[in-house]
Amino acid sequence: MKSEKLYAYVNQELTPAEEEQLEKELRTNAELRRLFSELCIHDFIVAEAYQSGAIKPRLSEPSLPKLKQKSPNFNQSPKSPLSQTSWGLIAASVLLFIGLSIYTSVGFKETVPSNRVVSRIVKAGPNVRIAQVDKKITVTGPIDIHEQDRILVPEGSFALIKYSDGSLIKLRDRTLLQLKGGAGGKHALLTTGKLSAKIAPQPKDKIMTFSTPHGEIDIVGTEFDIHAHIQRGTYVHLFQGKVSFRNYNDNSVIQLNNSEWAMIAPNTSFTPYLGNAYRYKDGETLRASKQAEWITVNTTTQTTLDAAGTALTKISLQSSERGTASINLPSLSQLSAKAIVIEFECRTDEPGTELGRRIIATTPPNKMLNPDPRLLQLYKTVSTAKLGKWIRNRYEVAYGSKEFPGWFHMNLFENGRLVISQWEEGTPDQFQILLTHGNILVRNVRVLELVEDPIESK
Amino acid sequence: MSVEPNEFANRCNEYRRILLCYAYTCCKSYVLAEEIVQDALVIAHNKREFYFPEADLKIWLISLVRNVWFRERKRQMKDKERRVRLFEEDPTLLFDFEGKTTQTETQHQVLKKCLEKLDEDDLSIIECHYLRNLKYNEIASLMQRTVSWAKMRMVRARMALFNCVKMNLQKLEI
Repeated sequence: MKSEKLYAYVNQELTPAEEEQLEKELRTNAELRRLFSELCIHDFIVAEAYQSGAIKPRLSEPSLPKLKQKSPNFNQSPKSPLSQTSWGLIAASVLLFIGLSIYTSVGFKETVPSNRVVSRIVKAGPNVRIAQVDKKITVTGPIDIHEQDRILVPEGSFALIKYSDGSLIKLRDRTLLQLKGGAGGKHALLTTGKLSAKIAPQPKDKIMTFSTPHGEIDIVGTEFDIHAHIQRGTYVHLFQGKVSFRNYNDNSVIQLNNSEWAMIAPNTSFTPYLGNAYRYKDGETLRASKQAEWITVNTTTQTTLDAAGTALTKISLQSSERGTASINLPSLSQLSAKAIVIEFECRTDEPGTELGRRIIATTPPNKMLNPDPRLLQLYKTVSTAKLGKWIRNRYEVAYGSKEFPGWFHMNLFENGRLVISQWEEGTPDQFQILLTHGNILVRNVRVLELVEDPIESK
Repeated sequence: MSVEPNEFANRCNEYRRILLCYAYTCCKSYVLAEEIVQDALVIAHNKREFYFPEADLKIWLISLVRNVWFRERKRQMKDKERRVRLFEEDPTLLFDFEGKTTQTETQHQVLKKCLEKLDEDDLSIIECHYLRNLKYNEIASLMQRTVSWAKMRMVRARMALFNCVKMNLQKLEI
């Protein structure tokens, strides 16, 4: 029990009062302190073993969830055509049916909905697995998919699913999907991964629904890609037709038309609509936006930091055009700064305005290998509640020290990925404010060299 | 007193794993812990002139890591209030820095054996937590279970792993 409490303590799961109580005990109990130390070291060793690759994950990403045959609900349950009352009626009907089955000696196993064939895998790559109620099957050839089955596509593989109406779904690697049929129409639960689909026209009263942990997409008949990631969100790329995309978080719905894409980030109340979708020849999708062309506005202003390193350079930028405002920073290798902080204020009068930032900055080589995950946030949506108000933004953008012999240039956030360009000596570091949608005013940009030194501050 | 940069860097690197262990305990993110330690080592490198050879380098470095963590913690907390925990305030009181943080390979071998003994549920939870840094609600959502189930299962899996590793390391007399 003590160990559990100590774990909870380190993980900040105790209340302040419980924490204080435990700390009292820790101060006086040497044995408890020793246990605490052991737990911390053990915890670190496990994390280190996984993160350093010393221990390979036994389960690949899509197979991480244990294959429970429970009702496939996410946090927010997908749209169900049946109300709770209806479920009660169904339960009663099932009981009645079982009674009748026994009475008439009809085996009820064949009539359980979970055994109904909903579609068929017609082609699959290596090691694709189907998890059924009582067993797991590795797909070696065409095979029927039943209602409760889950399809697991490991890394480097794929699976092609075909419905009787000709609709096709191609599951890409590292994907977990469950298909359902039913009176309300076809339903697919994409827990994680990526799929491309070409859905034949569906009856109006039986539209097909795709659910992800973040939202739900209603399909009448169209061609599209969905990419769901538990932490990054759900992307929908539409190539043909129309779909509606509902955000579970606030129940807002947007309609996507031909060649558009949209994204729901986890726990956001706004579904940004960002523009056109394209598909590469190899099937990979590319996000682009007519509304997000990067046009340089205003003149680039050279900033200087004084020798003391604490002086700030103020730049005022104003733009009502879409585009970027760039600030050139002196090369960090010329400074002894530990970090550079960029601050600016922005204001918009248009709902849904999106502001992004891009950093082209130097960083020590070992930082390059371990990019800070906090920096992988690409866009900041200016909330509608703050329309017309100046919002202060603060970003810590780079670390640097002249002590490091080599410098790399990083171009963060290209399509949400980290792109490292080649090292170019003497290229100025640059911070760009990007306006991708809407209108914006930017003012009071200032650059702050962090010279905070823990030793001196002590 | 001047210290040779290379010699100083080598001495600092000897303690890197201990520093990582402490930073990880504070922030519970391996990637962030590496960032914190790296920043602390950069500061140490820049301030090596101020280090007295007779002082305990390990303790000096740990206090640098603590200060960098406090800066990060402040940034993370923003407006939220959270009390400073005892091991954050005084790392040396709770943390046994003489502990077994050096025999990496043996530890990893033992850990591997113990992980093999876990059932698939426990292993999933361990991998979600340590490899993918998922939170309870994310694990619960991924495994289609309740958050309280994920919490309870996580505690059990961790304790089972901890006890198994401890027992096996004791057998090897490490």
